[in-house]
Amino acid sequence: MDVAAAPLSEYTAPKGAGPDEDVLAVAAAARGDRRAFERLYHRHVGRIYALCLRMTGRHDRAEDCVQETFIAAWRALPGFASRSRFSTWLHRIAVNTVIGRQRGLAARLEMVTDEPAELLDRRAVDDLPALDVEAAIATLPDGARHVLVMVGLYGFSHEEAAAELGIAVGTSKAQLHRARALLTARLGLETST
Amino acid sequence: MNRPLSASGRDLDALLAALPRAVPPPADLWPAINAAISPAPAHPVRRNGLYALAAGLAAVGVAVVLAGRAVHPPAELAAVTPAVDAPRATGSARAVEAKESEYQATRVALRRTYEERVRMLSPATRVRIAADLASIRRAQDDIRRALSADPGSRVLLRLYESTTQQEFDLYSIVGRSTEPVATRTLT
Repeated sequence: MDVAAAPLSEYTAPKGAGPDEDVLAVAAAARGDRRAFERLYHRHVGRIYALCLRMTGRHDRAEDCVQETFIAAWRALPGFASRSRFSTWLHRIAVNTVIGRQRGLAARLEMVTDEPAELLDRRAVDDLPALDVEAAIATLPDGARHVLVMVGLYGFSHEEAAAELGIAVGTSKAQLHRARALLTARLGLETST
Repeated sequence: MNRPLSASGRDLDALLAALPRAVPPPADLWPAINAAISPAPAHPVRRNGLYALAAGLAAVGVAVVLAGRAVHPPAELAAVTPAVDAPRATGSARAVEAKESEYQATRVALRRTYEERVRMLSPATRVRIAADLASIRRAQDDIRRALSADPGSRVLLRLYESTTQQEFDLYSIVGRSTEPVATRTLT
């Protein structure tokens, strides 16, 4: 996988907040300290929101997923064993939330009222820099988009992505290849070499 | 094994690498999260109440879905159940009240058929349906109360929308499952 992405396992929280600071805040939050959890929220919400936004393609769903992710994280914090980094754990909760909503009752009900897929919320991509790339990612089929976002942008391994998405590792690799081919075509990157 | 990337592959990698990994949400989501995780005495939206509400909704949702699937495949169910139009992003308790008047027209129409047909079901089934409906109504009442304390909560608005959809699903399931065979659409 040659896409330049910071692996999740090497992720360092922004704004000078290193993993050590996360550990202290996580420990306090696990004891019920909501102020500590708020610090964790502000430290990680940008990345979690971007992940949810790119996986869902819509602002409203991304916001819902962010809320559910942090609520689920708060509830699960006492059982967080610190074997992985908090950021890694939180990203997995976010992915589970996105996928769960799509598979679950909520998604079935939303499908009744949703506008057609081609009418993706344009604001969702217009707010982001590099509009063309974001817009092209938003038009990818769900399976290809999920793998591209997880593996290509957020540093999940194919094994991790496959486990989270409930697909085979080979399928994850094939979806990434498909996503890259579609993006290359849609961005007009074909070369004549 | 990684194959060497073409020029287009390298261009794509460069574009993907340039994307920001973090994007701030347009609104501060912390207040709603904080309300949902706050303990009982400090906030009118009680944590235990939310757990109970969520558990109740989950139970009702599972019951409705299972009942629906027993009679119809999910796609067919979705096709025959009137859609609940969600109070959208700018929603508030007032938005729910406004939508409720629209829900009411659909509710009246669906209940007319429901009342006629539910008598055709066995007593045991009627008891289960009545219990599900009662749970749905309790959930709607709880969500309305929670919304009055936290009118901007998107989670609560979603819950309200989902609960009303479950109510409509239940009416539709009863109507469809008791429909005379000759009038059903064969697929």
